[in-house]
Amino acid sequence: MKEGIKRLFDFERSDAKLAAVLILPTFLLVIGVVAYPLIYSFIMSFGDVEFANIKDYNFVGFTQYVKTFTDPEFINAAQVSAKFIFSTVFVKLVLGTLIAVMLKERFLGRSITRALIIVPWATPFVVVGLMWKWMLHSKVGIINFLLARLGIIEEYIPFLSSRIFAMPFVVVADVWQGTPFFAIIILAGLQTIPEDLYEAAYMDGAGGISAFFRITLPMVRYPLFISTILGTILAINSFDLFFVLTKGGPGNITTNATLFAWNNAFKFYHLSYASAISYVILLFAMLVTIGYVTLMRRNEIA
Amino acid sequence: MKRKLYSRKTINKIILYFFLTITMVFFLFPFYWIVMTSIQPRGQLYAPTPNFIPKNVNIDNYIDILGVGKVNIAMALKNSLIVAVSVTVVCIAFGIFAAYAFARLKFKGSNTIFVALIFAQMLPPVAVLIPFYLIFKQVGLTNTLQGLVIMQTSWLLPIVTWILYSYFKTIPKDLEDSARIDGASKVGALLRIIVPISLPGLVSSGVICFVFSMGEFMGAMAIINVNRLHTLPLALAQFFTKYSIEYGKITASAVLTVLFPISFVLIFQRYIVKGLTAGAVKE
Repeated sequence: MKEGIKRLFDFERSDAKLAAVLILPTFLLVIGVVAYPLIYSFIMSFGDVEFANIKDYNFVGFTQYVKTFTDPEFINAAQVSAKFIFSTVFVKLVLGTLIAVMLKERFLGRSITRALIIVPWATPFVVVGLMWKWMLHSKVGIINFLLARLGIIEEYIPFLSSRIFAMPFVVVADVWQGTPFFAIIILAGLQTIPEDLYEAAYMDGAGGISAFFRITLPMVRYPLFISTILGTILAINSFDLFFVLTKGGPGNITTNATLFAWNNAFKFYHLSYASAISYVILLFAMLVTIGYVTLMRRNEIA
Repeated sequence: MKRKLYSRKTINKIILYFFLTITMVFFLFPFYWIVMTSIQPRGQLYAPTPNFIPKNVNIDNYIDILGVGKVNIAMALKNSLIVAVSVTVVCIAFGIFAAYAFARLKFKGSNTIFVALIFAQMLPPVAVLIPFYLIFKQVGLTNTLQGLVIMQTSWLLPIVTWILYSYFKTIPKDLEDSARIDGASKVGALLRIIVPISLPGLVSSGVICFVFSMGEFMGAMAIINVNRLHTLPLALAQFFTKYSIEYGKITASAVLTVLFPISFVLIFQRYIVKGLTAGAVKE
C-alpha cells in the first residue's frame, strides 16, 4: 500500500506523469480562464440575455448571428476593421522592411539606434493615444502648427473629428507603435542572409535594387509572413487606440468591430448580441491563426 | 569625361543617414514632446507658437498628479506595479515548468495541447471579456487586483511558454544528462542546469509580461471600476472623461506610465529582441 502511494507520487519515473504535473498549472489556468469563458459566451450568443435580465436565459438559436450580419452598424464596423487591418499591416510591412534594411547597414551609433527603435513597442496604447491626441490637437497641436508653418495647410484642422482624417491618423498612431516590432523581426531575418549571396549577385552585375528583390525579399519571406499574421491578429483586436483617440467617431467612422462588440457589451449591456459579435471576430482570428500554425508546422518540417 | 565629385559609397552613406534621421525623429519626437509639455507652466501650453525648448522647467504637473487628488497617479502607479510584478512572476514560474514538459518530456497529446496553447494566445480578448466579467462577479474577483492578475496571466502564459520552449529546445540534452548521472532528478536538473542557462529567455519573457501588463487596458476596464484600484492606463483614460482636458497633467502621467516599461526595455534590449524573434526566424 505504502509502496503504491509512493509510486503514485514518484513523478520522476514516467515522463507522462511528470509532464502532467508540470503542465497542470498552465493547463488549468488556460482552460479555466480561456476555454470555460469561451463556452460560456458561446452559449450566451444563442440566447437573449441583456444585463437587466441576466438570470433569464432563453434559447433563440441563430437570432443574434442573423442580427449581426444584417445590422448595418456591424457591417460598418467590419468595414472599418477591414480598412484598418489592411492599411496598418501594409504600411508596417513596407516601413518595417525599409527600416530593417537600414539598420542592417554599418553606421555610426548603430547599436544605440537599434535599442531606441524598440521604445515605441514598449509604450502602452493608452499613452500612444494621448500622445497623438495632443500632437493632433485642433488648436495648439504641434502637427497643425508645423503644417501651417510649412504652408501645407492654411487653417488648423481638427484631425480627429474630421470624417476624412480621423481614420488615417488612427493608422498613423498604430503604425508608430507597431512598426518597430515588424522591423525587429525582419531585421532578425536579414541577419541570417549570408553576405556572399550579395557578393555573387553584384559580381553578376546586379544593382542594389535588383539584389533587394532577388535576394533580400525572398530570403526574409518567412519573417515577413509571421509579422503579417501577428500584425493582423493585433489589428483585429485593436481597441485601446480607437477608444482613446476617437471613441469611434466622428459618427461611427472609426468604430471597428472590437470597439463595436465592447460598446454592445459594456455600454448598452446587450450581452447575448455582444457575445455573437465577439464570436464572429473570434472565428475570423481563428482562420488567420490556422494559416499561422500550418505555416509554422511546415517550417519545422522543412 | 565627367569627373565624379563624390564616390558612390559616400552618396549612399549620406542617403542612409538622411533617412535614418527622419526615421528616428518620427519614432522619438512624440516622447520628447510629452516630456516637454509636462514640464511647462500651464499658461504656456496654449500659446500660439509652441516652445520647442523649455524656457524654464516647471514640475508643478508632477507635484499635482502625485499628490492626493481626484485622479491619483501615485496610487495607480502602485497598483500597476503590483499587478505587473505578480503577473510576471507567476507567468515565469508556470511557464518554466510547462515549457520544459513540452521541450523534453514525451507524453501523449503534447502536440495537441501545444497547438491549443498557440490558439489560446491568438484569441481575441474581447471574446472572453463578458464571461470574465460575469464569472469574476460571481466569485468576487471583480474590483480586485487578484482578478486582474489572473486574467492577464491567462493571456500571457501561452506566449511565455512558447518563448521558453524555443529556448529550452536549443540547450543540448547532454548538459542535463550529465547532471542526471550525478544523481539529480529531472526537476533538479531543470532548476539547476536549464534555468540558469536560459536566463536570457527568462529575462525576455519577463520583460514582455511586464510591458504588456503595465499597458493592458481593455480587460482592466471591464473588471475594475473603482478609482482606488485603477491601474495607470485606466487612470490616464479617466482624464479624458473630464470636461477640460489638462494636457500638462496628462503628459506628466504619461511620462510616469512609460518610465518603467521603457527603462526595462532599454536595459534588457538584447534579450527582448531574441525573445520577440523566437520562432520568427529559421534557426
